[in-house]
Amino acid sequence: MCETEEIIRSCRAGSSFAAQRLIEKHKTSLYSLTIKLTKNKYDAEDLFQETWVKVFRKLNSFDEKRSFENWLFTICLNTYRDQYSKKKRWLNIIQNYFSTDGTDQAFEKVQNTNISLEEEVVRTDEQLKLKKHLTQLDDRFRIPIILSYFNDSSYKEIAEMLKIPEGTVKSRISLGKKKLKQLLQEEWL
Amino acid sequence: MSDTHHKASIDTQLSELLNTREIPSDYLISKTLKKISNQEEAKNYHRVWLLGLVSMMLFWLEIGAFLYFAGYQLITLAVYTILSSSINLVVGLIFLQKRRLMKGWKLQ
Repeated sequence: MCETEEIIRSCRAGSSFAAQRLIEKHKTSLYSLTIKLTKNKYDAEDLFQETWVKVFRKLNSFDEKRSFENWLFTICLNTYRDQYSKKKRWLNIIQNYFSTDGTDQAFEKVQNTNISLEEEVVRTDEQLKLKKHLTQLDDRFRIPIILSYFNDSSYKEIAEMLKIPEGTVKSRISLGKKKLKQLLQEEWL
Repeated sequence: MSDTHHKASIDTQLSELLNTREIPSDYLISKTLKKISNQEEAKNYHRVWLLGLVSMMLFWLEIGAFLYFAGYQLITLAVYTILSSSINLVVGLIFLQKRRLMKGWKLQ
């Protein structure tokens, strides 16, 4: 029996220690996904908490033959689609705008590596532009792209998580990338 | 810039942007754990009350049935009531312990 299965069984039996272990084990991957989905830290934290609440509510229905992480991501994506994608959380977006600065990020990175500041500022600027365009992309294209690059998930896994055909996943990723390229090219011109 | 270059560049950039990991704060983890435990407690609390209500109704139904069939006799009724409620209480507690319904009340 693998470690996660063992922890899940203890959680089902009501062990709060096992619940803590399960969260600790998957906290980084889930939090990273919520950050990428929600566009701001405050919504990401809410989504992280709500996902875990739903996970524990539905834990008895989890099929142990499936990957726990994929199931966790599916719940997270459903919660996001139900509650976050259509809501305009202006306060959180404004708070986030004032708390992040690309230049600061570049400066921090340079201090820890051997890359020149100029090089890193250019790279960070490119990344910020890409991030901006990715944020503006429709969720139909954005979510498959995020899942594909974030976790190196296969088309089949993404199709299962989003409950759409594999061919649709492929075409949405390719179309999404095409749109991103187009937007970036327009900005360079 | 050629299209192939763009393709490679966007793949690399997307990978650099999205294949990163962020660690949540300990505060967020403890808040999450608290939320889960509160939810469990609330769920258990409601279950216990519902179970209690159903048991109470069944108990009075039982007394009614006893009076209907055995007729009113104070001593028999008193002995029967005490015995029946004690058995119900013990069985109920065992049932609750088994189902871990009293987790929130720190009885286990």
